[in-house]
Amino acid sequence: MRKPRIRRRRTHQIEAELRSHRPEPRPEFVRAVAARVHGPRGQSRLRIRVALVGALLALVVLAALGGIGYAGSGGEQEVVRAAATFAGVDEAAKPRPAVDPMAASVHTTAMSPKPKKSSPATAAEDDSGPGADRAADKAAAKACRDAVKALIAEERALHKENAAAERERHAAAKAAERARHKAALAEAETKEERKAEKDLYKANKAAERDLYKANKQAEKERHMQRMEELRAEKKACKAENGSGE
Amino acid sequence: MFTRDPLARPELLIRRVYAYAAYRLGDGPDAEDATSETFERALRYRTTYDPRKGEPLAWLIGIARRCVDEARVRPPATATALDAAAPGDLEEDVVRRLTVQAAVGRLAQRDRELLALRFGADLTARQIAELLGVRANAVEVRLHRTLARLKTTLEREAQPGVRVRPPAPVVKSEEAERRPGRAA
Repeated sequence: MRKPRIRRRRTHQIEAELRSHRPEPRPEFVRAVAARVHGPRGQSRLRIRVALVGALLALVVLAALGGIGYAGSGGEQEVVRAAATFAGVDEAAKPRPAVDPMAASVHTTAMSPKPKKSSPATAAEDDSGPGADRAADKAAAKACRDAVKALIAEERALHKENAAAERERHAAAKAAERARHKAALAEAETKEERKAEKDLYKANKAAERDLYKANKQAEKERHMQRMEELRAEKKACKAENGSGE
Repeated sequence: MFTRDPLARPELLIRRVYAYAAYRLGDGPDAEDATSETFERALRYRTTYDPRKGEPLAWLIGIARRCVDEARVRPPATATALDAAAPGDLEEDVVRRLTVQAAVGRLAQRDRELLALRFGADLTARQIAELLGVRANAVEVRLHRTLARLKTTLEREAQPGVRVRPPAPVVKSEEAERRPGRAA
């Protein structure tokens, strides 16, 4: 009964020694690796996230106030009004408020020489009121959608990059394992050693294949999840800005 | 929306990964290379880390195992672990550490890996079992046997004639520095 107890105590002593004599890295090495981990990539990602959140918040605030559309269409309206005054056109002959700046410029240039006849419905829709609000909403929704589109493009590029990197890693790992296997086979002296090495090679190969599959799957899942989030954000853009609050 | 960053606090992780690599490759530049490589890969794949599948340390050690296996294929660095660790005058504690390291170095790779996972990376038997794809009981048994083997090796070395002694502090010839583990 006593002997096992002593043996266990000795084993515990070795365990304690193994723990206390654990190899420690140089402090400079730890600092260097930690700096690499906290390095430019992490910081830039943080900056991108902060910028994105800021941009989205600004968009939401502007959309709520109808600022974008009003600012966009207000300037055009002033130009139209001024052109009409100089050309001596009747106030009622104003074009509909344009949402698209390109469309607005077409209206401006087209109306100066030949003023169009205005319908009562067109005249009733002035630059203030529900029309301006709708335009503001549309512009905000478009800006929001554009931002999300850019994020989607970025995510697709990242996914491609990750997949390529994983393929590269897999190929390198396979090559390294093959080289190790060859070297080990050359060193093996007995049949048993060769057989054990072959078994190990098979196992390593299978493990690498599994790792590759798992990494690929994980990347796919991450990509799909991110795309889903982005699609939801796109929908939210529409819902927030298209409802015309 | 945001996944947990496995490398949020890297200092402790670096120490554990290094200890794991050092137990398998020897304390020194090889272990540092393997640790750097591990963190490079971890940075590349940090977005794929799934906290539901385990702790960040276990995830990192999974990567480190590959890096160490690949490092073992490459030719070893010129300086040995013992050379790199040997200071001018060795205290008893340092001698013991070198003795233990040397004894670990003489174990089979499989045993070394187990010790590296348990005492270097500080993983639990359950985490090791998940990593190696075996049952936790099997890990416990293998660990017990490995420790017994290590104990035997250490006892054999402690016998007169094979005792590990430090080189004399005054005489610091190149020969003595190159072979600090030999019998005096």
